[in-house]
Amino acid sequence: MTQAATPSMGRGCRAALAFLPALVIGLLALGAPLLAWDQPVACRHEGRWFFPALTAAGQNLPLVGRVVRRPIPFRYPDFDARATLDPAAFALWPPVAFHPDEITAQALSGPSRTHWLGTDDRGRDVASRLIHGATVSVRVGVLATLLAGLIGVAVGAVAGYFGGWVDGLLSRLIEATICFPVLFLILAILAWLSPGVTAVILVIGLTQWTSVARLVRAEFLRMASADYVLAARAYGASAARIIVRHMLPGALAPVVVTLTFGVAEAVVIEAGLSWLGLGVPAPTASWGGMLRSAYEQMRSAPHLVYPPCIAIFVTVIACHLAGAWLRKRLDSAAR
Amino acid sequence: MIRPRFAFLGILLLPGGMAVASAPVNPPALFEPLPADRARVAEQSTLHRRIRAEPSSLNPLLMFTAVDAEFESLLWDRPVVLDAGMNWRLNPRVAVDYTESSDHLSAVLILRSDLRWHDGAPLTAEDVVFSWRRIMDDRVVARQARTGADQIADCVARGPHAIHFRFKNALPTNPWNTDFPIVPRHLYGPAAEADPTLAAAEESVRLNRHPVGNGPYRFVEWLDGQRVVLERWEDYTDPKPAFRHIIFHVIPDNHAALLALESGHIDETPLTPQQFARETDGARFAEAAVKLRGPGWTTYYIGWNLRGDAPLFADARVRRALGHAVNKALIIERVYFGLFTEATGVFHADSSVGGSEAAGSVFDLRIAGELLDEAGWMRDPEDGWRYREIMAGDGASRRLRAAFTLNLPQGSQTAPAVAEIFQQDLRKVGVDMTTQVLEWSVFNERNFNGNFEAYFGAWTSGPDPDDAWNLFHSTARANGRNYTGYASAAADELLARGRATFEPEARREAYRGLAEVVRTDEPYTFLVSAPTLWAFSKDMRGVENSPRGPSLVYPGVRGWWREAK
Amino acid sequence: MWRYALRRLFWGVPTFLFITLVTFFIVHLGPGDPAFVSAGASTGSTELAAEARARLRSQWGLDGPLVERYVRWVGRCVRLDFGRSFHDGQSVRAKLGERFARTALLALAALVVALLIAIPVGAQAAAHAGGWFDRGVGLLCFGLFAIPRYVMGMLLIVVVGVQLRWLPFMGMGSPDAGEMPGIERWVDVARHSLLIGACLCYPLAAYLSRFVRDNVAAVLSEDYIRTARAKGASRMRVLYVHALPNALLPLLTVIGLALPGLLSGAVILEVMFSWPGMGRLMFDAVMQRDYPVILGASALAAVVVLLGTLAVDLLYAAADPRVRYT
Repeated sequence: MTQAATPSMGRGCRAALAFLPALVIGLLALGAPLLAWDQPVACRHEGRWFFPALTAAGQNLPLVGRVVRRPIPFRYPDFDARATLDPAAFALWPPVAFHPDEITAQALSGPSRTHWLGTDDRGRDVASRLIHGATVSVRVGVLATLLAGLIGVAVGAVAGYFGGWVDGLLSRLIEATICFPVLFLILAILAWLSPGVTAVILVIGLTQWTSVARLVRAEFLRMASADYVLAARAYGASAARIIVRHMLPGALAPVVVTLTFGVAEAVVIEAGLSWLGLGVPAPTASWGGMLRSAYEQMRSAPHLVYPPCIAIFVTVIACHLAGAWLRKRLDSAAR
Repeated sequence: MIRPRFAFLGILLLPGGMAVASAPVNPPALFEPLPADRARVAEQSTLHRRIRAEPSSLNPLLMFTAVDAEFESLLWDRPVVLDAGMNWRLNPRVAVDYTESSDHLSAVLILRSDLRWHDGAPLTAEDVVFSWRRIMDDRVVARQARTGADQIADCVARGPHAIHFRFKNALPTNPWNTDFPIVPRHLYGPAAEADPTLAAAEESVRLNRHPVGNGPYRFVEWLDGQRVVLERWEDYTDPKPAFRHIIFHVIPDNHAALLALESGHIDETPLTPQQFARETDGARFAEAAVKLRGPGWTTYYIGWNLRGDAPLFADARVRRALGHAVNKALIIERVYFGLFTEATGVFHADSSVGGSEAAGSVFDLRIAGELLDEAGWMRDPEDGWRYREIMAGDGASRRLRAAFTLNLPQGSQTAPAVAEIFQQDLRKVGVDMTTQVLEWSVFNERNFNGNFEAYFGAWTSGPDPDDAWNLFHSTARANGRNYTGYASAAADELLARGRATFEPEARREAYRGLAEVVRTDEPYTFLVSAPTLWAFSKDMRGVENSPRGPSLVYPGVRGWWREAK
Repeated sequence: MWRYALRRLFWGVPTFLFITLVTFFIVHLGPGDPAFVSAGASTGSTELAAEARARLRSQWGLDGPLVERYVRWVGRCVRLDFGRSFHDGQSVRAKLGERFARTALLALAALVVALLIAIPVGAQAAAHAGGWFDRGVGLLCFGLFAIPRYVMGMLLIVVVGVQLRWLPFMGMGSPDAGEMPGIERWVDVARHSLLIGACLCYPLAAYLSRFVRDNVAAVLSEDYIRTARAKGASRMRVLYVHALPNALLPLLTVIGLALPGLLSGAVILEVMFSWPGMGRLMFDAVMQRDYPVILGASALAAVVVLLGTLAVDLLYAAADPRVRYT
């Protein structure tokens, strides 16, 4: 559905322009503690060098993150960097010097010099929460879309390759998944697992794979009668080998375009779920959660609405720009 | 902490600065009682009330929510009523006399002889007996009505207006146990014969939505999801309420309710602390409405699981340490805008058994740390959290971190905020608390099954301190609200003594003793006490506040009135 | 083609059963006991005793083997008897009917307005393809489409509802709607539904206008158009009489694909605006574990989607004689 809405990109649109916003947001998400944290990026403390915020950012990385730990004493839960560090010693602080969950003295204040975007009803810095919300949104968006992509490609490939009753059955499964009351599935999953990022990723992944599946199925149906496929079959190659080695590479390009738009959808769904209270649980910063606070404070602090709205909008635009550029390349490559 | 805006208002007290005045709180005119000279009263006007949700049913035997209670108090008259001072009184409009035997095991209630139902049929003792039988019938799901009524062993009609009660035990609460809802036998009798559950058959459902009562208001219509309309029953003998119609508007959302009040669509609504403090200061509100603030008997608390599932809470010192880590002052200031008060334990300071001293723990992280050290939970130099070696049943020992999950009910806006402040302070002491918001059904289920570590709850004390049985007695672990699994012989003995003693001073002593025992053991950490916060349209009169709110007492809404133009 | 339709309908039945079976199982095996929902709302200080809850459960038909309960439910479902709500005892069919009518009306109104905007705008943009109007509208649609509906909803509430106070944004009518005469009541409902309707309308309008523009532009380059122009037909005539109708066929498909989603109700929007539609009903029912309503609403949604996709396919086949079905 998103495909036709994007305008034709003007001539001279460079790849860089299309991918730059997405890249920036991705970097923001990975390096959030470098931009907003209550401990310095680098500092000298008691004669030694420490990099607390840097290691905290390292924890965001996919595989390495599990091994990285912040230095002692910075990893202590009650360590107050601002109070403990010697003001004369060197310290490189992040631009926003607040932790996203840190309750400060000022609640519901507007933008000011200390709090650039103001504070929310609990006294937490909005700018910090906005930046850390990106981490959640990007993580959910990318992982959920990958999951949906995996399931969709698998189902679509099998349906398209084998055809016949297999296709019939899988098409019915696709239809059933579209008709299924998503809200209920979300609640069931959230109650069985504890609410959190994993549950949301699972929920989105398990419900958003149908468009990819349909696409792959159509491609495979088209390719099933191609010469090279028939030849491979004649040679006795197994179905799995044919699918993966011969057919999949050709079908993947449109899938990548769909998945790029899918990331935007996943981000929107995650924020929506968090707004309803069913997504990422408090106090973790998430854009949907920030929108919910803004909704509850609409009479006393309407200024809280704009940051998360703009953040979600920019992320969606970033994905749409990248997707549109990819599609244009695909179309011109096909021609 | 004085916020700049309020400081500004201070300047306005100078003459000439009266232009922007915020809405008055508790203006004397609001409380002016219904005058004897009814010429001043607008007798034909309509009262627009707001309810948060639809009533679950208009069958008083099945009613159980707070919204239901609003209708019950207007559609039915009971022989015993609760007044604004939280005292039980015999209702002279319904009952003439109540005498209890000297051994307190039986009593006779004499009704007035001229009572009628809204459809004209006479109200007799047979209706009372029939109602009691229905409540005690296992097939009727009488959640609320059975409380107290199950202490009656037998209930017999002696003549058309006298009911003879026989009680199971001699309790000081027996007179109040005779307070159960009464329904017309001539209507519910045939329905009960066809459908004993009174909830399944078409006829039962119809009756449950078209009630026939004996109170000053009669039912007119119920528009699903939107409003319920009541009309004054002109055959009702004195005292006659002022409003001709009462329309209950179903407005689940608090914002919408405040908007409706400001635009004059409704005449009253309860306020959240945020609304009271921050959203009702504008000129728009001041033009239309005034605010009410008074004491309330609802306390918020955290319950600790003592059943052994969470070894952290096994030691009372740890529980007390956690109690010392609650920064109640900051919570009251930040989350409740200074409107709430620190809890004084399970009994409210104003109740008959309340203590005047602040029985809650003092916020002191140093003492909390010391208590935790004493209890064996030491800080690990590796990561700063507290750990302890716990002996499992099979002799093996595990190293446990001082960490727990606090369950919060969904729908509460303030509970997560309180939890977050608590969480930050606990981190400073080396205890890791995570919160989990659960939907109501899951939240209740887990509490009931003891499947939790800690939970955030609310407790509303009733007029009689015997209610505390449900929180503290060991038998209440299976049948009451004692989800924590607290069992103390001392507490049991004191509760039993309070329940059986008739002499008020001795009773008070027993319950004060209970408060002391509970303070030392701290199975619950009581946090804050909630006041009653309400908004009324400017022209409302006759309101009387009570710890249960302005409407759920006697005379309550029946005493509200408006000036005749 | 009728054979195709019948075959699709035939295959729709097992799909429907599969959906309802899975929903049934998840609903009944999922955590949360409906008897506990009400317990939380009780006044006083006692608890709903275990026996009372057991009685409630049996009254609600929640005892007995799961498969048996499902079969019974399907049997009643075929007779369009969805039982009574656990929450307030109302007939589920009546509730569904009322809510669905409202949601459908709002969705259709949003769709009609979207079409009224999209068709002329798209056609004009296509007529001057590449010009400033086309580029500008294209950019606007791109931007609008990137705003999620609930984000727009929040912005509209805060700006139009709270700060400017131009329109109401909570519920479907003012509290005194009962006393209003007919016309006024309709106006009141319309005012309350304007903001949520706008949120439903703008993504459709953005998407459809680009869609119309692309299709019309494609059609405009066809031979028969040039023939018509060569024969002296005016630009307007060419556009609206010759080009547009041919471009509208794919539009039907798109509408058909969007309709089921619209008719199921937008949960987040309806909760945000407190608008009593299908989405809100489903959300409240799920929160309250109101099983009969959840199952009834899921069944209805499944039927709507299945029939919708079938109708779209059939429409396409009927309108375009070039399409053949195996």
